Amino acid sequence: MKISGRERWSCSLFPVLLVLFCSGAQANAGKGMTLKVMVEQEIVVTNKKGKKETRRIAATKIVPGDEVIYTIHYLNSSEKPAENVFISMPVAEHTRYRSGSARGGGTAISFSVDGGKHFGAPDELTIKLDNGRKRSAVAADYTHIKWKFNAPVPPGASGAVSYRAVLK
Amino acid sequence: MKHSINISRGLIVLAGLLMAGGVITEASAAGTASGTTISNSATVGYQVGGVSQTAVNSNTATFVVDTKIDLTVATTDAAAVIVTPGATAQVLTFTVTNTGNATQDFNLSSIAVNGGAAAFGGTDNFDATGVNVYVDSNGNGTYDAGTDTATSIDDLVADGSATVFIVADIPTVQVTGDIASYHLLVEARATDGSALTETTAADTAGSVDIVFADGQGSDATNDASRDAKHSSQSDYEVLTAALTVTKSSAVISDPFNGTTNPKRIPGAVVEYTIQIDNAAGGTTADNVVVSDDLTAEAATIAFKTDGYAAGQGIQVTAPNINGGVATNLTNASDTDQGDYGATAANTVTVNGITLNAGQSATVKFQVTIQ
Repeated sequence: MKISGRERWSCSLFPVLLVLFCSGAQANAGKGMTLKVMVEQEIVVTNKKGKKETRRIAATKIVPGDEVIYTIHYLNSSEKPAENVFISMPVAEHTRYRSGSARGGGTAISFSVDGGKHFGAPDELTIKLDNGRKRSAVAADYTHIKWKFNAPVPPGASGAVSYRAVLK
Repeated sequence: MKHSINISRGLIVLAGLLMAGGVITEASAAGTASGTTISNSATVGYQVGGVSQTAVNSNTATFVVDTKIDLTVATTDAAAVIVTPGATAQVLTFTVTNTGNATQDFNLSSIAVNGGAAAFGGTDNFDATGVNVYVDSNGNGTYDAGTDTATSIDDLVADGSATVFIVADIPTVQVTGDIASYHLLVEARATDGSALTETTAADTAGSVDIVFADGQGSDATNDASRDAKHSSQSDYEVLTAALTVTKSSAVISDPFNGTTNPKRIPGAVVEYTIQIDNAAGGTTADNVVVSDDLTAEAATIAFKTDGYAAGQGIQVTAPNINGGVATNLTNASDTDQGDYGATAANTVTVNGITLNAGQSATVKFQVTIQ
């Protein structure tokens, strides 16, 4: 399995670390799976042909009501497959999850409405009301998002998952 | 070299901390406050060879919330404010709401519509005089002359709103149906009162920029979208009472025929009826005074002092007097609404009549032909 980017990433690792991986020792924190998060906004610009196109730039000019895109890049920088991988991310304070915006190829996406204690599909989540009853949760209730990988992440493999949030 | 780390618990603790922050600071309706730093990071959990690995945190991605300049101006008048010619300090009422995410000052100005469409139908056709704009400083929703004197809004917090009045006088020459329409134009300013400038250039995360997010209000000439201004329109509409007076007479009796087919001969009693109508569609006429001077006819007729009862030579029928029942009035100047010869010589005077639009009143008195 040839995965582009493997050389770029793994060749820069220290040889010592590779030895440790090969010997079956546990990976050092940060040198197995690594994550890099970007927060961006979409802007509409007019290109040279006079057509409007949407571009992503680093989130800089954000006011309430604007949407930002969180992209989480992952990389398995070890020499072993990472199994039972899941990425978890809170919905940032002062933002709310944009319904249906979570993306992640080869992952099962679930949500939490209780601060990350329990995760479930959108139709499984409920909110307890003050009167003891329950109502179905909506996107604005989500506190965390979880991407559970369907298959192990091979050594050197990288990818990204993402979601959109709206600034309250 | 075996570490036993409970990843799932570690995640729960991490999540709990992050959520605690989310609950403490609740965003307002106007949005997250300008200058707030929004931070977020992700965590990955995994196993290698069946062995759980230490959960790995990502970098923290942050951005700073910029200043959103947004405002909404809306009149609270449900219809044109009805005014009468010559009325002073007539009030149009507006609400200014800071829908941005930072405290701002707001400049206020009134813009007279020049012959254009009025807010509540019809066309503007006159300008009021002595037009001023005042803030409802004491917040009671009513214009108080001498108290509500501020002419701009100082330090209106995000989500806050203020009541603003356009106060003007109506020229005496105006007639029913005349309309004077005004825009209240409001401009967001910095808290020191200086003008705001939108940050148009690209910028860097970590600095607070200014973004104009307002829409266009009623005044398309002076107010565009995203210009830190908003406007709303309301109208003064003149409505005055249109009174008509009709005087008629009928012979009650003569010395020879009595009350049967009486003739207008010397000694005959004639009843005069003065009818006052306030036309439908106008305003209420207050304190209508009816007076009929008989001086010129003194040689030919004499006021009958006991026309309706002893000492009661005047009868009034008006909706606001005695429940609309015909009421006899004394000739003397006293607590009732009428007199003869007291207010003015040889004159029947009745005052205190109130007529709503469409209502009528009558004043009757009798004379004897000389």
